[in-house]
Amino acid sequence: MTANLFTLSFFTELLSSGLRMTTPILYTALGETFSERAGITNIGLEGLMVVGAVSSFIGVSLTGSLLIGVLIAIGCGVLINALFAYCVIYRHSDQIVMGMALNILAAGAASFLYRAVFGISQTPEKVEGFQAISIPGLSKIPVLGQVLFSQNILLYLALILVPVCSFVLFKTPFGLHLRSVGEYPKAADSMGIKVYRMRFFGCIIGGALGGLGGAYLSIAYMNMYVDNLVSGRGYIALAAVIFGKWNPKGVLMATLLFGFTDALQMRLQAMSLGIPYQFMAMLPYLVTLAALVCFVGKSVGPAANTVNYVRGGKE
Amino acid sequence: MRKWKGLNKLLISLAAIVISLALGAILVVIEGNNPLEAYAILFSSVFSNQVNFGEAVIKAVPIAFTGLAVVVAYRCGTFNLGAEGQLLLGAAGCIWFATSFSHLPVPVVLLCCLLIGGIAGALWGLVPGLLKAKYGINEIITTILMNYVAAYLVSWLVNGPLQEASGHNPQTDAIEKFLRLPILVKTTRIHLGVVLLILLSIAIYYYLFYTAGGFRMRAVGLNRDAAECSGINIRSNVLKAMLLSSAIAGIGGAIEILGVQFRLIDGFGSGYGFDGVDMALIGQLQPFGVLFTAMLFGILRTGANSMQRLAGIPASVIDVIQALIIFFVVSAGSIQLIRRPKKKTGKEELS
Repeated sequence: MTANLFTLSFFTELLSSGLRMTTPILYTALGETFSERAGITNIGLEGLMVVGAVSSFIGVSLTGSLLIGVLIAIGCGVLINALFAYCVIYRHSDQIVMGMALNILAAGAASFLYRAVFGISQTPEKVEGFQAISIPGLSKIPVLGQVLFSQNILLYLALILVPVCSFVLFKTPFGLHLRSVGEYPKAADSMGIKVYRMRFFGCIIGGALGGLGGAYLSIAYMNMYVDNLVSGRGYIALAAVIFGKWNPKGVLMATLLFGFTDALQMRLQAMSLGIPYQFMAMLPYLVTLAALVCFVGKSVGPAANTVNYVRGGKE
Repeated sequence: MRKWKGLNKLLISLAAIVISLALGAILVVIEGNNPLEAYAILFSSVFSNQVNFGEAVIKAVPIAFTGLAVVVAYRCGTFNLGAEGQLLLGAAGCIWFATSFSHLPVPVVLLCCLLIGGIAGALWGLVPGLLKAKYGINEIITTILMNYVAAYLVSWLVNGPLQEASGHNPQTDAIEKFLRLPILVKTTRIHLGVVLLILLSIAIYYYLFYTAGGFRMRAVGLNRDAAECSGINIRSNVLKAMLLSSAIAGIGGAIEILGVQFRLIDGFGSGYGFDGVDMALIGQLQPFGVLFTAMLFGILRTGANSMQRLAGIPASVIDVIQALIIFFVVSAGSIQLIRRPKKKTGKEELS
């Protein structure tokens, strides 16, 4: 049993499925990076993913078009986060409480919507999801080919987004303005940067990517929707932004850690090593906890993160 | 000033409930049913039938406990989203003691069950509490992660060490009949735990608002910096609040086992933690507000089941209504429905 632990195919499988587990968290965490860089912490990521997952699933199963599914997920994510952003930025509601409300609202609405569309049935509906695309030539490379170049298009897109996000955040005026309203909104305001508007943009990007992260789960990974499909990935993404030091490349590393832990525990479960499966299933959450403890103090977030800005108000 | 603020909050909660029920009615119309009829069935089924009313009370008890847990932590500026895991651990501790030591005198066993439930819950809350107090790690993330760990831990317990003797189902053995909490009203399942719940919320109210310890805890929640300047130890208060909060959730788990469930089943307690957050926020962070809100949801959910059975409207309408209520309550935090009589202060209103 331990012999086949270390075969090449085991590692290839582990790496490629690790990447697949990473992708939804990566999307969501990248989105949250924009949001938090602009000073808005959205605890409602879990809800955002649920909304993305259910809306894209319904979209795909009704229209049969994956593209429409993805667009619907992005649209719903943006819509929900725009609502959140309005309450938090313009009405100065508490970010944490509002995010919590978003989680609860999303969970309720998702299960209602799903039942309204598909009725109450024992066997979950299935859709034809995104298929793996082998990139000619490159996918023939041993190990690496299967891990990196035989995946579905949403996964490629997520990986491409990492440098793109990095560039936007750190090399463009937009990114500079976005970061400035998260660090010191008053100073940004005095420089003529529209603090509310920039924060709103941050939330919109967060909503779009969060919705996409959810969509990945329902139409590219499981190809179905069940009530606890997201199962805490939104919270893990939240933690990943912290270990990733609010930096897209760091976020990639952090989400890879969780993705591989998840893939590893699933493989260990399948191997029946005599350890109860529950302890394996705990691993991703325990690793997240451990990582939080290890990285504490070493990562300092945007100074004005989670702090509401009231124009013309006191500090 | 305080009085007006309190009244305003009460009105916000009531308005949110009414508006959400009205929006829920629209959903019922979309489903192709008559909303007035649906709500009539919902409420009449609960209030015209003693058994159903009892069920509503039973449903209110666990979410009231987790709601109280959230209130205590929140008053100290700490967000305990892990009440679910703490409740689960409390239930597990209780069932372990009740099935292993049933030969001891009944009052001793019951008391120990509650005590162990509280301790088990508190231990589960100790981890995020320590991480927050010592290292300042965001308790929102840690408490939620601990929920998942708790769910798997309990799943292992009821499939392994605590599984019923016959070994068929993922559940523990039932506790002995004489260890079950006495029923208060005949023909219903209303049990002694309801009285314990009310006593506990009075105790929490008294502690928070009429003792020095409670004042210190609230001071930390209201303004950390001011509290620290006044010599209040932030860390120890945060830890204390977290322990107290998770112990309450744990006791709630024990009472749910002793009064209603009688055994621990895989998947027990799912949703109680976030329901607790709802109860706390809709109840405007007041212990008695939590009791009323929990009762309201007990009624809504029991009635919704009858509604589903009699009118074919999915009971998950209530989940959406619950979500809408919480959404309105939270987003209305900055709105004043009534204004106190104006006094000239000369201070410009902030935009």
